[in-house]
Amino acid sequence: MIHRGFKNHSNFRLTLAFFGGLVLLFIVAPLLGLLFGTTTESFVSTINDKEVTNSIWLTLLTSMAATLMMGLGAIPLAYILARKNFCCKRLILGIIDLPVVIPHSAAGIALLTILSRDGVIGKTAGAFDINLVGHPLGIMAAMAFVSVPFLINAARDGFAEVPVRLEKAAQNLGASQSRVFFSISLPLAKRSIISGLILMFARGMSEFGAVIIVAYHPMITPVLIYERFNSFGLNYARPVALLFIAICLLFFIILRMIVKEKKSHA
Amino acid sequence: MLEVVNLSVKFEDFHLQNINLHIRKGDYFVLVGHSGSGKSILLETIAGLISPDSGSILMNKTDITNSKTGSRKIGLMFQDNSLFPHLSVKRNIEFALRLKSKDKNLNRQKINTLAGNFNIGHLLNRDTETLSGGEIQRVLLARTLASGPEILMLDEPLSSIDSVFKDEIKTLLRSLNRNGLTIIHVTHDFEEALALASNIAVLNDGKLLATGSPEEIFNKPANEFIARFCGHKNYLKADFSVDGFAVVNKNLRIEISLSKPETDQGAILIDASEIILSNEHFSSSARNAFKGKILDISKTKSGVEVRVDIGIPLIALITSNSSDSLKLKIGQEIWCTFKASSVQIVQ
Repeated sequence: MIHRGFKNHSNFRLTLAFFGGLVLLFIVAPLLGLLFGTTTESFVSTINDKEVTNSIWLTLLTSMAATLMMGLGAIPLAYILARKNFCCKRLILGIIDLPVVIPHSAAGIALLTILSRDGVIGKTAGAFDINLVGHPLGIMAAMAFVSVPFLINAARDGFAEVPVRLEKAAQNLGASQSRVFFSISLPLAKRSIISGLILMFARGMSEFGAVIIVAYHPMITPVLIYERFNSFGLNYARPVALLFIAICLLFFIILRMIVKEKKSHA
Repeated sequence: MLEVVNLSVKFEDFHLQNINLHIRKGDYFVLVGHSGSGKSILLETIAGLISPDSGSILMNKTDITNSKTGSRKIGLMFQDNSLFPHLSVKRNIEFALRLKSKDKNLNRQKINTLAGNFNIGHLLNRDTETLSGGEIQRVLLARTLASGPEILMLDEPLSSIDSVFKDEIKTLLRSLNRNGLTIIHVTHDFEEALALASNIAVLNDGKLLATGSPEEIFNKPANEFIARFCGHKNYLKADFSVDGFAVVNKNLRIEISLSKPETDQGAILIDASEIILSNEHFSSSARNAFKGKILDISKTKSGVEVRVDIGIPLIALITSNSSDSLKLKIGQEIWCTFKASSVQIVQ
C-alpha cells in the first residue's frame, strides 16, 4: 500500500513537472532564439553603435532617477498604509494598483493630459522653459506612473511585517516618532523596500507603451527596438534587444547580490 | 505614586471600564486576570501607548494622562519579545541610553553596570535572535531600566520562558523591587501573583473586581470568579440561619463553626483537601456528612479530584492511594464528611 502511495505521488509530481516545464520552455525559448539568432558581428557593431548605447544609458538613468525620486514619497505613503486605518483606505489601495491594470498606452494618454503644454504640470514646467513632452523628465514621469505600485506594495508589506510592539517599545524608551521610523521601522522593512525599489526600477526600464506616447524622443531602448524593427526589420532590432536584455540581467544580478550580501552581513 | 482614576478605554472591540488603582512607591503590584481580561490594554494605557476615553492617570500627583509615553518614566516590557532584531544586545541597551545622553563613555559605563546587574556581560555582542527565553527577559529588563523608569511594568514576563529559568527571573524581580523599584506585573497565574505581590488587583472582562493584599484576595475572595481564579474549588453562595447553618440551594444545610454571621446572605468556602470520602457513613466529630454520587474523577498534580453530587456539586481532593483503595468510579455512591471548622465564611 505504501509503495503504491509513493508511486502515485511520483506520477503526480511528474505530471506537475511536465506542465511546469512547458511554461518554463515558453519563457526560455524566445530568449534562446534571440541569443542564437544574433550573429556576433551584428552584436559587436550594436555595442559600438552610439545611438544604442546612449539610449541604454538614458533608459537606465531615467528609470533609476524615477525610482529614487518617487521613493521619497512612496515609502512614507507605504508606511501610512501599513500602520493607519482611515476612511477610503480601500479606495486608495485600489487607486494605487490602477496603473498596473490599465493599458499602458492609455496611461500614456492620461499622463499627456497633465504633462503637455496645456496640462497643469506641463504649464508649470513651461514657465521654466521645459517642455515635458519629449523630455527625460516626461520619460521619468511615464516610467514612474506605471511602476510605482510595485514599490508601494512591497514597502507596505515590509512595514506591515514589522511588529507594532517594537515601535511601541522604542517610543516607550523615549524615542520620537521620526526616530522610531528611521531607526526601527525603516531598517526592519529594508529588505522589502529594496526589493520594491529593484522591481520598480526594472518595471520602469522595460516600459514602452506609456513612454512612447509621452516621449518618442529622446529614445529609450524599448522605443529604439520598436523603431528599428518598424524601419529596418527583425535583423536590426534583434541585436539591440539582446544587448538590452543582457544589460538588464547583469544589473539585476548585481543588485540582488548586493541585497543578499547586506542580508548576510545584517 | 501612581493613581489611575475612573479610567475607561475603548480599544478595538474591547472596553476597559472605570478602573481605579493606587500604587505606592516600592509596591510590587500584580494585576491578575485571564487572557482577554484587559490587562495588557490597561498597561499600555498607563504607559501612554493607548489614549483613554475618560479618566486620568496621575504620577506623583502630576496629571500625565496626555503626556507622551517616553516622558512618563514608566517603562513597559511587552509580553512578546520586543528586542530590536536588527541590533545586537549591546546596541539594544544603548538605544535607550543614547536617547538620554550622547556621552559615549558614560553610556559605556552604564551598559557595563547593567550587564553586571543582569548577568548579561557575555551576551553583549550577541545577535538577539540567538538568545534563550531567560536571556531575552534579562536583556529586556536591562534595556527598559536603561531608560531610567520610576515604575517598571511587566506584561506576563514569565509566560514565555522555561520553568527552570522562571525562578531565576522571579528572584531578579524581587531583588529589583527590594532595591526600591516600583513594579506593576501582569499575569494570568495566581500562584505567580502570590509569590511576588505586595498588592494584587483582579481584572475580568475589562472591570476591576478587587484589590488588596494577596492574603485578603486569597482568603476572602470577593466573588465566585476570584475564588475560582485563586484555586478555591468549593465556593458556595449561602443563606445563614440563626441556628449556625449555611443553607445552600435552599435545602442543603451545612454546619458552620461560628455563630450566625452579621449578614443573612453570603458565601462559604470548603477546603477540598479537608473533605473525607468514605464508602460507609462513620461516626466522628465532623459535623457535616452528606451522601452523594460521583460525577467525575480527574487526576491533578496534587492528587485526585473527585466531583460529588450532594445536591450541589462538591469537589474533594484526595491522594491517589486513597482513590485506589476506595475503588472510586463514576456513578458510585459515596459519603463526604467534613468538619464545621473547615467551612470558611467569606462574605
